[in-house]
Amino acid sequence: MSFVANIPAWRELIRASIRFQFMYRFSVIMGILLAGVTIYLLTVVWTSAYAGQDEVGGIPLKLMLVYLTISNLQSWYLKPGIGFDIVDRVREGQIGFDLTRPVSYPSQLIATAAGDQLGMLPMVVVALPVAAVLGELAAPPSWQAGVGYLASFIIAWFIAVELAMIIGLVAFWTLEMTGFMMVYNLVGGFATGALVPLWFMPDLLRQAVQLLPFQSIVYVPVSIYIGIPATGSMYTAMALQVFWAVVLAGVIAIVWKRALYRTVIQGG
Amino acid sequence: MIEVRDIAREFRRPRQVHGPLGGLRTFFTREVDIVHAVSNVSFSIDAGEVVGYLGANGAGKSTTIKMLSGILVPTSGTITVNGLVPWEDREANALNIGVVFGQRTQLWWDLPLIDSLRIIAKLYRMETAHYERNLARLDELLELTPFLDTPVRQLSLGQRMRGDLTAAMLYEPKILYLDEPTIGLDVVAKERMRGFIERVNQESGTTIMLTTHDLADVERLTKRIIFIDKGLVLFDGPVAELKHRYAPYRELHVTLAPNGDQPELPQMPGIIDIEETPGRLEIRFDPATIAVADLIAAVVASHPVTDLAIVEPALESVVREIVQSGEVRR
Amino acid sequence: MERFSLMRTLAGAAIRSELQYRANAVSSIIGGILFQITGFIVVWIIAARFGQIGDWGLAELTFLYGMRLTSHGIFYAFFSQMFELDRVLITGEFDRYLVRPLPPLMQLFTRKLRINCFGDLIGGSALLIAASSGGVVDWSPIAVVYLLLAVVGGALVEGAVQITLGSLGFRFLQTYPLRASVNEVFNVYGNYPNVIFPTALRAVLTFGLPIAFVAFFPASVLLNRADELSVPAWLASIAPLVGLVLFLIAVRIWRWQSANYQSAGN
Repeated sequence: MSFVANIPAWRELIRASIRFQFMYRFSVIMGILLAGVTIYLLTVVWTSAYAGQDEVGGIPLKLMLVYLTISNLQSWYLKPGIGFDIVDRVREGQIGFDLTRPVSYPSQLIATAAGDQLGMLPMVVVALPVAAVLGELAAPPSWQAGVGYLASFIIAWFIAVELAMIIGLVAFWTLEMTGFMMVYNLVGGFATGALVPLWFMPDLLRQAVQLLPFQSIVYVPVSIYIGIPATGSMYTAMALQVFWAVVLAGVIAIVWKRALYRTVIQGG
Repeated sequence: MIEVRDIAREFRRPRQVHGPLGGLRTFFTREVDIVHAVSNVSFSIDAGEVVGYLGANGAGKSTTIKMLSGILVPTSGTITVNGLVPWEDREANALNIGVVFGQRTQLWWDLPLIDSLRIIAKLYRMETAHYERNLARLDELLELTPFLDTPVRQLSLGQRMRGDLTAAMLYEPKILYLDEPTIGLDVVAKERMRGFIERVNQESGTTIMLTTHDLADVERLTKRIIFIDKGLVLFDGPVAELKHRYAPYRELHVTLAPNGDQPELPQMPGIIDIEETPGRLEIRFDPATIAVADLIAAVVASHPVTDLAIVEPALESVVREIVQSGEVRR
Repeated sequence: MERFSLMRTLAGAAIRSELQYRANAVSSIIGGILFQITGFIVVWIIAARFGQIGDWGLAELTFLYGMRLTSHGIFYAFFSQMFELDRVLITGEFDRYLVRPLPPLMQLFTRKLRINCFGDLIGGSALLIAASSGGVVDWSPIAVVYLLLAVVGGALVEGAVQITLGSLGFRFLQTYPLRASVNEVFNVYGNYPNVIFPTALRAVLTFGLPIAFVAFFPASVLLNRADELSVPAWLASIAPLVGLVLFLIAVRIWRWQSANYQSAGN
C-alpha cells in the first residue's frame, strides 16, 4: 500500500477526530481549568519552598515557575487518548473493523492522534491566559531556543503518541487495564519532569529517570524553552528524543505484529 | 389493588444549542423542550387481574409502569398501589411488587444465577425455608437447574429471562409488572414464558400488568386491555369489546376451485370490502347488516367454492387500525 | 441494623464479582500504591531539598499526606461508585435500585468495589507510621481515637461533596467531568498545608470546597499547630463532626433531587 494512496484516508481520520474534539468541549474546558489548578498549586508550593530566596541551586524562582507553567501546559496539551481508544475498541470487538480497513491500524491511530491534537489547538488560546494568570509565563531567552522548542515539541508529541499506542496495544492481551493505566499515568506524569524538574531530583532518582523515555515528552523540550537544555545543548537533547522515537517505533512494530497474529490467528 | 388518578408525566430536556461553544451553552442554557410522555391516565386494577397495557412505541407505556413501580415521580396526579404511594413509600412498595424489564436484567452480571437469587432472598427479608420452597417451585416451572451455577453474563437470552422472572417472583410479590417480557425470545421460550405467567396468576392470584408488542401474549393471557396513545387512555375494557368496537366486522375467506370462473359478486348491502386474488376471495362484511347465511348463499350460487371460513379480525390488525386512525370511538 | 446486614450482603456480592478478575485486582492495588507514591515523592523531594513547605517540615508534611491518603482510601472503599453514577443513570441501571426495598444510594455504593482503595489505605497507613516515628505527634489514647475519627470524617467530607455534585446528575445526566475535576482538586490541594495559600483562597478551601476539613485541620490539631490557623482552633478540632454533618446534608440533597430522575429511554 503506497504512502500517497493512504493520504486521503488519514486526512479523513484527522477530520473526524477534530470534530470529535469539538463535541467534547465541556470536558476540554474542565481539563484547562484543572491544568490551571495544578499550575497554581505548583506555583504556590514552590514559591513557599523557595521561602524568599532569589535562587536555589542556580535556578531563580521566576525561571522555575516558567518551567512549571510551560511544562504543565504542555502536559495538558499532549494527552493522546488513543490508548483508551484501542482498549475500548478491542473490548467492544470493533477492532475487527479497524483491521479490515486498507490502511494499517497504527497509521490510523497516528492520524487520529494528530486530529485530536489539531482539534485542541484553538483551546490553547483559552489555556494560555489561564496559565499566565495562575502561573508565570515568559518568552524564551533567544529565538533559537524558541525554534528549538517547537522542533523538540513535535518530537515529544510523537513519543507521547508512541507510548500511548504501546499501552493501548497491551489490550490485545489483557482487557483489564485500569491498574496498568494508572501506573503509566502517574509514573509517567512524574518521570516526565512536569512536577519536579530533573535538576531538583535526588541523584539516584534523576539517573533512573534519565534512563526512561518519559523525560523526552516534557522535561527535554521545556528545558530547551527556558534556555538550559537537558544534556547541555539543544542539539544533543533533540538527538536523545529522536533516539527514543526510533526505539519506540521498533517496539511498536514488534508488539503490533504479535498483536495482529494473536487477533487474526487465534480470534479476538 | 392499583388506583391511578389523572397522572401526567412530562420530561424536560435542555434544548441543544448549536454553533460555537454549543456544548457548554447547552449545559448552561435555561431553555428546555417539554415532552408529555403521559398526559392524563386513570384506571384501576383489582387484585388477581391480568391486564395488557398496549400502545405504540412512545405512547407512554414504560413511563406508566415506571411511575407505578416508584422509579419515576409523576408531574401530577395520584397513584396508590396496595394502599401505598410508590415513590413515597418506595421501600415498602418494593416488597409488594416484582418488576421485569425485558431488555434489562436485574441480576448480578458476574455472579452465578444462584448467587443473585440468594441475594434477592436476603434483600426481601425471606426465611431460608421459605426461599428454598419458592425456589424449588420456580425451578419446577422454569427448569432452572441446568444453569443455576452459570454466571449470568454467560446465559442465553431465554435463560436470563427465566432467571429474571425467578428473581421477580421469588418473594411472592402481590403485583408483577412485566415490561416486554417476551421480547427477543424464540417461539418455544415465549410459550414457556406465557405458560408461567398464566400459572402464577392462577395459582398465587398475583395481579399482573403486562406491556408487550406481541399481541399473542395479550390474546393468550389477558381478559382486559388498557390501550394508550399519545399519553391518553383510548380504550379500557375486555379484549372482545375492543374488537367489537374497533373492528365490528367479520371476514369470509373463500377458496375457489382451480381454473374455475371468478365472476363479480352482486352488490349487496353490508359488504364492506372484497379482496380478490386468483383462486381466493376475502370478503369483509358487517354481520349486523347482512346475515352470514345470505352472504354464503350468494357466494356459493355464483362461484365454484371448495372451502369456506369465517374469521374474526386478529387483535394485531385491530391495534394497527387504532394506531393509524388515532381516534377514539365511543 | 438490618440495613447494615443487607448492605454487607450487597458488598459481598460486589467483592465476589471483583474476584472474578484476579489479575486485575493485584495490578489495581499496586497501581493504587504507586499512584499515591508518585504524588508523595513530589512533596518529599521538595521538602528534602528545601527543608520545608509553608514552614511545615518533612515529618509533618508526611503526616498530613498520610492522613489525607488514608481518608481518601476510606472514601474510595465506600463511595468509589459515585464515579460510575453517570453510567448508572444513563443506562437506566438506577431503575432497578428504585424497585428494591433498600435506599438507592446504598445500592449504588455497594455496586462494585474498587480494589485500588487498598492501595490508598496501605500507602496512607505507611506514611502515617513513618511520620509518627519521627515523633511529631504526642500519642495518647485520645489522639489515636481522634485520628481514627478524623480519617473517617475526612472520607465523609469527600463523600458529601461527591454526593451533592452527583445529585445534579438527576437534571444534567453528565456530571462526571465536574466531579472528577473536584476530586482532582481535593487530591492536589488536600495534601499541602493550607497556610501556603493567600488568605482569600484559604477561606475558599475551607468554606467553599471544604478541603481543609479533610486532613489539614485535624492534622494541625494532632501536630499541635492548630493555633497557627486562620480559623479558631475549636473549629479545626471538630472536623470529624463537620464531616458527618456535611454527609447527612448531602444525603438529604440527594433524596430531594432524586425526584427529578428521568430514567432511560424516555
